[in-house]
Amino acid sequence: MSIVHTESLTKVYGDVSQPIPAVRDVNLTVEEGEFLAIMGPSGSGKSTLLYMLGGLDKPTSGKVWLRDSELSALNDDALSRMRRTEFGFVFQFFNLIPVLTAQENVAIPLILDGVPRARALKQADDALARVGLADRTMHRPTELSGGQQQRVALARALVTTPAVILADEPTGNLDSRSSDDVVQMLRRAVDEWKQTLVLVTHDSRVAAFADRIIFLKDGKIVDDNRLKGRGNADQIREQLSKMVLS
Amino acid sequence: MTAQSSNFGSTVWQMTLMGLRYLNGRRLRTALTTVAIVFGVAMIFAINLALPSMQEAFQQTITSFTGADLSVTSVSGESFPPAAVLEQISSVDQVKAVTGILHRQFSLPTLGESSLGDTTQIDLVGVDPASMENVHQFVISDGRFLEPGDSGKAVLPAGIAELAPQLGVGTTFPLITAGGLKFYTVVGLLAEQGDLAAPEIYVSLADAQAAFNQPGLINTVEVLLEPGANREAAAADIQQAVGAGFTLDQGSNDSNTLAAMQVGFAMFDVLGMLALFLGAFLIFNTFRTVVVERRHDLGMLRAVGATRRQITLLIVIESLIQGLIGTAIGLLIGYLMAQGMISVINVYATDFFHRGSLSLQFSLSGLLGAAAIGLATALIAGYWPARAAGKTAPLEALRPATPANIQRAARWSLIVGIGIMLLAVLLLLTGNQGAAGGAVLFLMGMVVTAPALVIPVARLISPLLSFGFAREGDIARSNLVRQPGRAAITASTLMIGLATLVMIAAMVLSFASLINSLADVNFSSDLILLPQSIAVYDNVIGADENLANRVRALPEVQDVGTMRYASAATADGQALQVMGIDPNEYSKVASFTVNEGSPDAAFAALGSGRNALFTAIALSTVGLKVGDDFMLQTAEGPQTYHVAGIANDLFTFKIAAIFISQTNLAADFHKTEDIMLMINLAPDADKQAALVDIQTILTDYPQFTAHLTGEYRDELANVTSGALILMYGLAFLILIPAALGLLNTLTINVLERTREIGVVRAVGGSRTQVRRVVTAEALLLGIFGAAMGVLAGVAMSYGFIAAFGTVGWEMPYFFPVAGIIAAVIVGVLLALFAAVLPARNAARLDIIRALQYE
Amino acid sequence: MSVKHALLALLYHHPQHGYELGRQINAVVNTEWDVKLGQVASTLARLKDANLVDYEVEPTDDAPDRKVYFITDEGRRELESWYLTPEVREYRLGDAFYIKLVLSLLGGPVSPEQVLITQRRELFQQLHEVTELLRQADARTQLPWVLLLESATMHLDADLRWIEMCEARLNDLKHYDPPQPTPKPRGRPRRKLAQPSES
Ligand SMILES: Nc1ncnc2c1ncn2[C@@H]1O[C@H](COP(=O)(O)OP(=O)(O)O)[C@@H](O)[C@H]1O
Ligand SMILES: [Mg+2]
Repeated sequence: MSIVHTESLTKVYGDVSQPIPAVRDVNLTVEEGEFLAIMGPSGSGKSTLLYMLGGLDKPTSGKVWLRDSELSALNDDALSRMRRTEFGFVFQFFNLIPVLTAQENVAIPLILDGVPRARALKQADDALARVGLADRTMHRPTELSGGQQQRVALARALVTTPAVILADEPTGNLDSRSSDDVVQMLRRAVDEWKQTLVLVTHDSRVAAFADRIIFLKDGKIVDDNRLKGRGNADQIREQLSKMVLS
Repeated sequence: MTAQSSNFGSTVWQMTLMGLRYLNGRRLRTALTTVAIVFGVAMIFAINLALPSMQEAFQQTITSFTGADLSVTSVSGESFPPAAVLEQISSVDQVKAVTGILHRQFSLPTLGESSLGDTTQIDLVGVDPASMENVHQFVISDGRFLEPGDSGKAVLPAGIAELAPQLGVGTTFPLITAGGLKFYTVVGLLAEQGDLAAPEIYVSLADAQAAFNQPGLINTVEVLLEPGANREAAAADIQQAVGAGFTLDQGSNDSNTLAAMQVGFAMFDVLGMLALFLGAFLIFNTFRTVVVERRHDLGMLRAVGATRRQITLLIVIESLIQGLIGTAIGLLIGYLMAQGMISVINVYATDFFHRGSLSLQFSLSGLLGAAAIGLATALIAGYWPARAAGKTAPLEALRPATPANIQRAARWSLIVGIGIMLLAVLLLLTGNQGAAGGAVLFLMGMVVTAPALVIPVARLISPLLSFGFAREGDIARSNLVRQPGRAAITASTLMIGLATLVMIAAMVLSFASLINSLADVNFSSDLILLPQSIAVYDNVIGADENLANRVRALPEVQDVGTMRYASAATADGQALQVMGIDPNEYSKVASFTVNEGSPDAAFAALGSGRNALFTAIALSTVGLKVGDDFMLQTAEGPQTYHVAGIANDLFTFKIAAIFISQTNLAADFHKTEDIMLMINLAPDADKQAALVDIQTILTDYPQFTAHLTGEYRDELANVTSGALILMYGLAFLILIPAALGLLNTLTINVLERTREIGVVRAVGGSRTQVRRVVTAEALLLGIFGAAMGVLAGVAMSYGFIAAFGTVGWEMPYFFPVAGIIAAVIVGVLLALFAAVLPARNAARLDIIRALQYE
Repeated sequence: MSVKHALLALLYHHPQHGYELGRQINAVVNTEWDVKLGQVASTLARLKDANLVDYEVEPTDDAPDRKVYFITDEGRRELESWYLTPEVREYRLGDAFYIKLVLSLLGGPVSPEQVLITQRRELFQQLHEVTELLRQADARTQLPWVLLLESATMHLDADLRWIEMCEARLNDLKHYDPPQPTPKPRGRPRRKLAQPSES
């Protein structure tokens, strides 16, 4: 079942005299429970597309639906509410509020939504435990490694059990080990907690975790690649053996 | 959605925590921003605590002796013949008994042998013992109360023993009277005595009338009502019976002193408000920076679902926290300041408060008022940046760079500001009372225009820096023009401080010249005899004609002119001081400054009919013009006087006073006491010898002191210039927040550019160069602020002096050259001083950490 | 990969029976690499001939006597020099896909973009599967296998990046003019006349 859907989605930056088309005429359907990776050279409009999917940026033309609601038809307050209840965001940089503890950072969307603080903090603890940071709840962001910070951000995205998690190069700033942790966790969110995930990445090895990869070029989707299950595992083994024995 | 409203508190609490941590993370800045609030709140709270305490003390002093149900006095405050009034009041139903008394509170001269020990002020009450005992029963602790027929007998409060232990029943003490020193014998001691009040000394009515040279007169009627009488109804009936010339339960005109004090305190209130105004500037400035600095955090909050209103709330809460902290500290300091003021007053104002001391009255409304003003300032100043913060786009969080860091000054600020200034100049040129408004408007216009001026002015003055700061000047300039709004606000705070300085300098010049010309008219005689206090004559005991006659009889003396005093009121109850002179005598020893015609004509006018010369203040208070007739409440009831002209002298120019002839003063106010004597000697007389002769006479009248007029004038000039220096002190107080503003902005500028400074250092900039850039920036701000301050100061001083002219203080306008130079120097020094810390911090930045700073 | 050196490496630790060696070699290296017993026996024979290993006969009661192999000094030296000789991977200059891409640039029924996309799909499919295997593998118990899979992901990643680069340079590639093969001069080469340079 589709959960996010776009129709002729277009974003043009700049003014009329010098339009910079960032996303052009994108028709995309994200299925519920899907792990979708968006790839493409830098400047191809990946982030812009992602932000429009999450209601962070307004399309120049075209429409975005989350289930039955059309995002561009909402006013700022409704959109804000949507962001804190239906979407979870993970970004590359500046992800956490430096003066808040990990626990509070995770609880923020709940608190902004009016959940009593004690309950919000309890839920935040649970979410942190899910990303393996049960022992770091009282730490400030500066006291955490980059990978840990990103996991806190992930916990924040998960805490509201949003309809969709949107991640913009969440591993772009991490070493390969931390990057692996974060992607594994994202994958688990999809597999075990049935989250829907849209992830922008530059890294093929991160994208390889996805169920589906779309490629953008100059703001357009140029390839939509659904990756099959593991039917070919034996073949791979054989190939590997050959490679080793050669 | 219900969750949203019901748990609003959860959000607010979280925001409060965040705000506290953000503030804690930038402690220096928080402290600097809060200081102005502290300053302002402390000022206002201190005034609002001290003033009511003093007022109350005054009230006690004035009314403490009335043990009766009601008391009736003349509206003018002066004495009146008792017969008719006593008759009228006792005929009213429900009145059981009445008695007439004559009393006056006055300061004692510091006599060598000290007639009443340490007592500095007393209330001498003359009573008719027979009728007094019907109205009020005195509790006697020793001896007896006065009896009919007593003369030269006195009853003292028992508490006086603390101040004058030698006094007891049967002892004798001297007291000043209008007829010279007189001795009284103590016949009894009273058990009761208010602590703060000047001790009441009861003598017979006749003795009091002699002491004040007011034979046959009283100034208060004490009334006892029938038991169970309706007080209000009785009071109305009595008022009806005595007519409009009398008033019930009103204190004496002592409130003149209080009014003068209130004016003084109002100055502090204004200072407090100015400090808060500057505090608002600082908060506004800081939070605008905060919003830019924190755009990532704010954007992130928006991205995870905060609404615009929630973001606005977050910043407002933060500024409120600062407001709260500042207000709390301010209240504390204010309380201590009030304590300090009270104890200073206790030391210096024993004249008013006698033994015992003023205690600070805690006032909840004063506290709430000051707190509300402090919080409101923080709230209002924080709101605008908070609203701007609400507009932060969620995507701000994701952009590493800040392309929008350079703000552009709105063009409207230039247009609106110049519009306001033009209007202000028009008002200034009218030269009437609107000129003061014009001055304030001009200041506002400057504030509005400032952002638009930053770039051109910076370009204009940065060449000045090329001497000492060849390379750094340009960098400093471009740093400054990046945030014209902030630079403008900083320069504006400095401007207000420096404009005040320039204005005070100009006013001091003008005032000095005014006072000098006034002193010319008062101090033209050879010798002058002055009472214990000048300008507050209610508490003075003068002398009867004997003193003047004895002086006149001295061989060296050629002319003696005297001044007399009475209090009066206008038809609508405004107090006026009435000065009585003999036009013929007085014109020989002193004069007035007159606005129209000549002094001679003015003296001539006083010679006949009920003519009065008004001080300019009196005229504008009463709202009359020369040639009008008006009704004056005198001790003889309402009398019509004619405004014959405007006249000022040094003693009266700052109060609402009128001059009439001594003949009229005696007829309408029953006053024949001389309170000041001016003496001209024969051309070949020896001044020192004459002084010695006069001082011999004055041993009988110790309430007077004799001075060589010239010497006294010099002494006065010293005191005046001391007071004027105090004014400069006020100006420097206002410069404190201005300096904080500078420091704040420079600190913020350095913080904001930490990364840039790191790059400059990494590519080889030296510490010295970095320090010099910050210093150059401070200098640019200082010169900018000083330039604006000079301009605004000139406009303000011109406006205020013009406005003073319309209330009658026509002062020459002096271009305050010295003030301008001082303002420029102070501005530059302040800038350099404010730059020390930020420049050092910038120079000491650790390169690696600076590069990582975000 | 040589079984020869694997046997030497195992014998270095302690003398062993041929059959045991066969089992151990599979256990140590990894489960997927199935070395046949016959191969072990023939290799041991060759090693004995080359005087790199030797054996002692261990008498047993019921069966034929077992040969217990041990490493000789010469074998030790050989093992050492093997460890110290780096393995060089061949450059895949003769890659079939490369030929396909270059040929598609000349124009044909399928555009070079499509050729790239098709190849990328396949590579991603493989990478996805290797990633799956990696996720299932337990690094604590199967470290050699995990390392091997990592090696595969890295090579696939490198291929993908190369494709990405080709894609980014496709426009340049399209305008690339293949050098014309210079026509072979017929007859005797003429001698060039020496000419004065103009500079
Ligand atoms: N705020 C902006 N203003 C103008 N142009 C922008 C803005 N944000 C992105 N762009 C342009 O839009 C295009 C797509 O950007 P982006 O979506 O960030 O690409 P990607 O995330 O794939 O690197 C780029 O050309 C970029 O320069
Ligand atoms: Mg991007």
